[in-house]
Amino acid sequence: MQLVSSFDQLEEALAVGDRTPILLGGELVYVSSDIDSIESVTNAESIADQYVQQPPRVAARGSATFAKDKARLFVAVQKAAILACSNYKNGIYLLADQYLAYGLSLKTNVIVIGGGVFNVESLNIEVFVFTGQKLVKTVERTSSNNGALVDAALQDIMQEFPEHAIHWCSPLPPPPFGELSRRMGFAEVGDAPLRSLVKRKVFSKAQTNVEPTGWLPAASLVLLGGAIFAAGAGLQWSNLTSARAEYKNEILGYEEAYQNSTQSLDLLRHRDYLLKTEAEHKERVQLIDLMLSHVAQVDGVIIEHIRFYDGDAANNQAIQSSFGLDGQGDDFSISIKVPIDEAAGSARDQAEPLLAELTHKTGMTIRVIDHSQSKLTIGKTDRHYWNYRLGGTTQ
Amino acid sequence: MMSNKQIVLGIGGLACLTFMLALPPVWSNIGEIVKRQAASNERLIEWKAAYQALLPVNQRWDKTFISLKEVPDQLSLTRVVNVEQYGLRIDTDRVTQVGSEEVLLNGMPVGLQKLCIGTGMQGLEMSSDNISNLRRGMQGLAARPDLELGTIEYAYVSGKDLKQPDTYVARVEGFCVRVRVSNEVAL
Repeated sequence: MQLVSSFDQLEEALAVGDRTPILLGGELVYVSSDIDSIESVTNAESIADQYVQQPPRVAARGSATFAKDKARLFVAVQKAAILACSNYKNGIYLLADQYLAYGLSLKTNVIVIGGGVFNVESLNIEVFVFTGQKLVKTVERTSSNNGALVDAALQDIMQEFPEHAIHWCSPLPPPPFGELSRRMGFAEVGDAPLRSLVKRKVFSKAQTNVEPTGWLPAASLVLLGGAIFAAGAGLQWSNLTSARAEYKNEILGYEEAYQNSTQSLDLLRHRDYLLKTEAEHKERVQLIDLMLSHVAQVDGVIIEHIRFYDGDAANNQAIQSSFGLDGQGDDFSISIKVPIDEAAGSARDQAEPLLAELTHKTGMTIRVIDHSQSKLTIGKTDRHYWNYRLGGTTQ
Repeated sequence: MMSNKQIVLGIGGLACLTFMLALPPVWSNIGEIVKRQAASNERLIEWKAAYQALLPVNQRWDKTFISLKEVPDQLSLTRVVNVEQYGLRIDTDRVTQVGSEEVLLNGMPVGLQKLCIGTGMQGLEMSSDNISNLRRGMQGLAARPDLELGTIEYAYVSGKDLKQPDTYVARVEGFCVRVRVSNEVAL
């Protein structure tokens, strides 16, 4: 780290080519806490071109920052110095920024005294007065390194701020013995302010002293809010779009069927059921077969017809009348001829065991509806038959 | 009184806040719509899965039932029934159409029409020379899913008077053939 207070020192430092940061102070930098004072420097005819106005620094911390007339440190840098340093790559800092940061960080009421050696015997003293974490005054004095002279140079400050602590900083040489150094609260802090450097950009073009209204940050806040809103709304919107796209994708080819979604599904289910279900007539065919096989076993029987009714027809008189029957509610009707057995007795008597056997074998309930007699002539023989009409239910 | 900078920043901050506060209702409103769409999508996907699972039914359907267009008259219908393949005889000249009706399942049309035929007053009559052939033939007919048989009668007709061999006859009342009719609802 190299501290320079004059242009010659600066040139020398640059020439040395030591790759450490350079701190500008002394006559290269003009500082003031008072706007009028700095404007008089930068606007003055003779040296107007020589000092370049830098952006003002906020010189308050904590609650003091929000005060109406904010404390500020106005800074101007010698133009020639700026030009000389423009290519320096290892950092150009202003001593004043370091003292300012240091003083604000202390939080107590303090006078920070810094500066540098101007030439062999001459000290360039820069004084920063902080009250209530706010910079209230800056002065710049020159003096020889002699206790009495230093006291004289700073006497007015001493009297104005009797209770303030005093911090004596590098790159000033060790303080000469005097009233100043004997004062209560005097401390030699050395390079404490220079330990972590505060970097501010050094502008080669004059900056305005008026506080910026902060349009840019305000506008960015608005844009930020707008961006968050747009992003959020956009995100949800894209969720919606993709959900809709999914719908379009899924329904492709099925639009008609989905229009009557329940019906088209039901239709298929009904068809499936119909294909799976066994036809009702299958059982009927099996029953008629069963009856036929057992009736056919009756000795000498002649079967005229066996009829099993469709469930609907069993109660349907119209159907039954086409068959010429009157066994209402019956599931079947049978018409058979059985040879008369004299020994058995009447037609009903003969029918009884017959029916019992049939009932037992088929599991159906059978009864005689009516009977009659007939005669068949086969060759020369006459055969007599009982004609039975039977009916019943399958259960 | 605040400085200009504070006022401007305050306005900027307020505008930012307004934007951000406007977001939640918009978010939830669109969110609601997204939720409804998602629910609708889910219903569609469920339906589609069930539908696709059942679509093979249509293929079996088309194979099982002949189309109405293929049987414009009772002759072609009788041929489709083809009782001869079961060893039964039928007098084709006497076959007439006795009715047609839409097939309903639980009151819902399924795209089938039943065309009923008969050979006289007592339904459709088929015959065979012996009883076992008759029985076997009828069992074959009964197994067909595209036929409906109502009341069934097996009878013995003596040929003595007509100087013909004895025959065994099966008469089916309500003998109907199920045919497909075009139905635009399903794919």
